[in-house]
Amino acid sequence: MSRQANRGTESKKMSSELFTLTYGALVTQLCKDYENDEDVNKQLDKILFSHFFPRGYNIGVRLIEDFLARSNVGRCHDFRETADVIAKVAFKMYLGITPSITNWSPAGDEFSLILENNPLVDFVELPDNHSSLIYSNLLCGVLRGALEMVQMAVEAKFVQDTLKGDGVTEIRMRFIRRIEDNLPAGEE
Amino acid sequence: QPEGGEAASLCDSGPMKSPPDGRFPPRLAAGGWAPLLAQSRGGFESLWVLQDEMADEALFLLLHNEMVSGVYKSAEQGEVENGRCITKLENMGFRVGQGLIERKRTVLLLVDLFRFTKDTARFKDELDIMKFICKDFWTTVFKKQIDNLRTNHQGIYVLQDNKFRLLTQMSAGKQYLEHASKYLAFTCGLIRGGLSNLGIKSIVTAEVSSMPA
Repeated sequence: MSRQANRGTESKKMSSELFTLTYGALVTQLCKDYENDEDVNKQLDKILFSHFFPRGYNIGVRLIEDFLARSNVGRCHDFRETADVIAKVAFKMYLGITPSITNWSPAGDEFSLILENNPLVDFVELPDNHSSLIYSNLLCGVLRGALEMVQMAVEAKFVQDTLKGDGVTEIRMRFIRRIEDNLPAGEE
Repeated sequence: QPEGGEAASLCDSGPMKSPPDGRFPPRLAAGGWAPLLAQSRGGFESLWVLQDEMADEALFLLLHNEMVSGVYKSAEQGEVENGRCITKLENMGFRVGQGLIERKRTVLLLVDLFRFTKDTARFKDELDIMKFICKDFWTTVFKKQIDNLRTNHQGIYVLQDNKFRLLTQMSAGKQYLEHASKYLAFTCGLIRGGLSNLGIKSIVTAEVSSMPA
């Protein structure tokens, strides 16, 4: 790790290390608490009506406020615009990376985010007994929670994962429907 | 919904910025912040104050909140359980503190100069390490330095942070002081982990005398 002459860069880098290290500690703790990886995956994301505590989802519903206040993006008119904002603004802002957007479905309701580097998995290796763990599943919960707060019901899931030996990390985003004005079924 | 007058105090701590007009979808703007601050079963939820922190710090703060809520949510009530939850959070902080120091190799270089020798210079080295914790470590984790460091020169150090970042979002009501310990456990572990990788075994405890202004 090279010495950074610029104090600002160094402290920013360490700050993002703080997040990734804390996330690692959380995943490790969850693996201790729950017997199998499926339960841990659910904890990290939160499946509807599960009694598990929603992690990513809860972070997402709050993160969206922070995002909207910090960035100057207006309302997105369609899913393509949403994809652009997620990849070029949100990911850049919070994780310092810009995933590429590919594999649009013909109907324009599905796309993939390709992450060359996933900052969450710096220095992380999956041990053999956790091969089905979706380590970065928090990201899917965050995306789902955040978009729900702007009235979009989406599904987000990992289809490729560098931790599992794939060349890149790929998150598949699928637009399900627009949420009308009633509040979501409070997933707390 | 929180009981009694608690709802008001949850919502008016600190300089809340109202959402800029037209930027939020109608549902968020109409409800204000309140609908998004649902009470967790632990009976406590902290507010989110925007725009003063860096974006990546926002992620960490949210994650930390989730960890605290999650650890308590899946536990039952009671003293013993509370102790277990505190320990869990502290242990997670410990791992992270170790990791932060481990990765901060340029600092390790500096600290090697202060490594313990078995002589009377020991406490001076210790003080240098504590100063490092108070300045560099605290700044890179919390964007500010420790405000006051005191020692009895016999191995006890008191670090005082007048505006602790993990607590600044909370309301100043007295009923929240007891919950503050949940939000300190991780940080105690963080310090203990950092010190551990700097060659110091320690016990770190924390208390809140009053909520940060």
